[in-house]
Amino acid sequence: MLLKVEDLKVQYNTAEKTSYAVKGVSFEMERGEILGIVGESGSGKSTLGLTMMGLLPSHASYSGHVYFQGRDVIPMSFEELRQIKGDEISVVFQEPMTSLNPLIKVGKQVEEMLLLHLKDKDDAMTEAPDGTKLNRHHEKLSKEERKKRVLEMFEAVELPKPEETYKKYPHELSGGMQQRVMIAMALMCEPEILIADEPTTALDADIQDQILDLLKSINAKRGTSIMLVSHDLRVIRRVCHKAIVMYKGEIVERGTVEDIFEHPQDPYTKSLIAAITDEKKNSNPIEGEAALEVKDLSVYYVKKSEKLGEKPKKNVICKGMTFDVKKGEILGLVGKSGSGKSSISRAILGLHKDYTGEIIHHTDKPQMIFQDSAASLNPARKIGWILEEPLKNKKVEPAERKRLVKEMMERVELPEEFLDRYPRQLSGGQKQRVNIALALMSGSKFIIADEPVSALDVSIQEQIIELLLKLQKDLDLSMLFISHDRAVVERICDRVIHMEDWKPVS
Amino acid sequence: MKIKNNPSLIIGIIITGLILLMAIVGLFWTPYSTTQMDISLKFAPPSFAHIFGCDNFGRDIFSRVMQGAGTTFLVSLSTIAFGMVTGTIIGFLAGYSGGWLDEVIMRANDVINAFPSLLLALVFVSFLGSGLLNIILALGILFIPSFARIARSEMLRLKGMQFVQSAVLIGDSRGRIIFSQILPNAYISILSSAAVGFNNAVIAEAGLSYLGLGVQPPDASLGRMINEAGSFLMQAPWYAIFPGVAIIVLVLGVALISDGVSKID
Repeated sequence: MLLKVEDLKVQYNTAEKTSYAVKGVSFEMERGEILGIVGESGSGKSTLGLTMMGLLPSHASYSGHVYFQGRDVIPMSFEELRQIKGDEISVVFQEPMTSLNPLIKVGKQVEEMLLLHLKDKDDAMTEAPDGTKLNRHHEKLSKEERKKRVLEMFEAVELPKPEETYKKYPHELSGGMQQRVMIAMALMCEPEILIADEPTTALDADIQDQILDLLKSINAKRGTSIMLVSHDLRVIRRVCHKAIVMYKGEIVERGTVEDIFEHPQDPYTKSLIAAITDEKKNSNPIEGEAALEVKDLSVYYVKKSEKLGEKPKKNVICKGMTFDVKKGEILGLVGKSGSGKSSISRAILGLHKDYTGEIIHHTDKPQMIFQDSAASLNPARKIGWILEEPLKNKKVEPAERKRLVKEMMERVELPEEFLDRYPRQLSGGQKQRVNIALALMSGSKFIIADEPVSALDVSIQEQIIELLLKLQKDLDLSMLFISHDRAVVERICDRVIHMEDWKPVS
Repeated sequence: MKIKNNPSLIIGIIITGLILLMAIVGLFWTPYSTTQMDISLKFAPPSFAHIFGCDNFGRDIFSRVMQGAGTTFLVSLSTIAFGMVTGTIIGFLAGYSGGWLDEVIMRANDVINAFPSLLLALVFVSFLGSGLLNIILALGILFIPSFARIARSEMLRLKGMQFVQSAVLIGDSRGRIIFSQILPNAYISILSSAAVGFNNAVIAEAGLSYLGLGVQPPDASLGRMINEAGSFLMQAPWYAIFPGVAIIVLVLGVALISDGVSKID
């Protein structure tokens, strides 16, 4: 038995209230196992990982036992815990960029682990004269040897050209490579267990797969046990042997991954699985008039030259893009993050002027639903004010404005009281509903949705997608749906086009 | 907004409120006339009849502090109001439009900033002539750059945010975007620096009056009174102490308000 958690409870105490993040959770983990912990944000899954690393914030209190190799880590002192951390338990976080020091070469950062922790299983602990145990192993490795080990590890995590990567700074690496560096760092001291907290959430779909495959192969080759925390069931299914489903701080389902997917028992698990296995929308190409025509569109950015007298550079995002969106159609535009999807939507909306080609609107001014539901609502204004704004611009009478706003709130299935609240008082899903309402408020029949659900939890995603589909039908909207998530696009769109087809040849 | 959990705001409002109340009462009623001289009371020390004592002309200092606080309030408030409104508009304009207009406005700001502010005020006053209105104008101009800079940086922070783009899309006009969408997000930082500015204005007015360029006799302002008291510091220390304490308490009160405002989330 590698890890045994017994009746673990964690609560966060703030001035206003006490909230229970984990409510009496017990589970076990065998050596060499990949255990998945699934749940939405707020389910307590990340708190679980943090507790094991002793990284809970000071306002958290907890009870229960976490036995790691038979020793209870809960009552351990900071120093004892520090010995275990890195040596025996390592962690990989979601955002590699924020976990790496931007000013130090990545090779050095990984090497640091050796200086701090290296475990030489035979005689790492030498006795000092006074009988206390001292960790002296770092004296044993020469500089060259340390570097050699780092390079070996870089190879093991499949980083290309280890020698060159060693000398690079974090910002010179792609997100996927940064995450590989983080994994290398975590594995440097050959830990017994690796806690990976949403390790792929910030990455593009195909890079995600590579990192997951890497975790799997590390587990197979080195026998490292992995605890994979994720909100994404697909990730869990791809990698894990066993899984735990958490909901509101409790375990609602556990078992082997096959069992959970084949015979889910709990209604919550069922809904999660349903959300990812939903069938594709029947794609029957819609004939008819176009709502939007884009002809030979090239979007670029003008980059100011850094050197004096040099001509400004053009950074071309797409070239010769031609497509149309028919009336009543949802067209999907798929591309990786950073591929310029959003620039195209901004060009279509008239927010980005640097483009050539033709954009012809056959409807009113299009409206937009942004990815970040919080940032697109004015934090200083109440929902009611925000939703009335488009009507004020159209000089609609106050009483009529109130009526229309209430009607719209009903459409997006929000209670009327919300009109009197500030955006920060709403949850992510509710804010996105307000954004949808705002986009529809001016009566536009053409909506551009830029990753409208990718920042939301899985079950909320599902609700928002349902809502968008319902509104599209009810109001006969045309939509350009932009996303990096193929599964979502295939579910919602009538037709799909791909960014890659119009990438400039570099 | 939780005022309950904001002790600095509460205490600040109480202190400032008390002085403001005293000043307002002083407009209509003072225990003694503020101008009537009585040579028999020259440098009378504090007593029950004259709790702050009397000055070199035998005038009641308490009555003059009441009147002087009013003048100081008026000058400081108008100065800050002028500086804040003009500075915010200028700063928003510079931040929103960017480009050469931004450059021109901000460099003009730098020019004003390049001179010690009190010296510049002296230049303005000697150019415009002394008197209440001219002091307000001169000090007000001095406060424009600090507000312009804050307003500009708030604008730069906010104008790139998505809700502004969203406002463009729903057809908001430029003025509406600046004043209805962006201003409500910026006002807390502008207001909290207004409170700091108010204190500087109190001190600047006192300084100008101290130099004899501010309020003219026989009118009282707190600074003016300290100016006059300077010559009699050994004979009648209470003449300088009480107006001085009034300034300190006022500045403290407003500083607490400023602290409280900046804590409002």
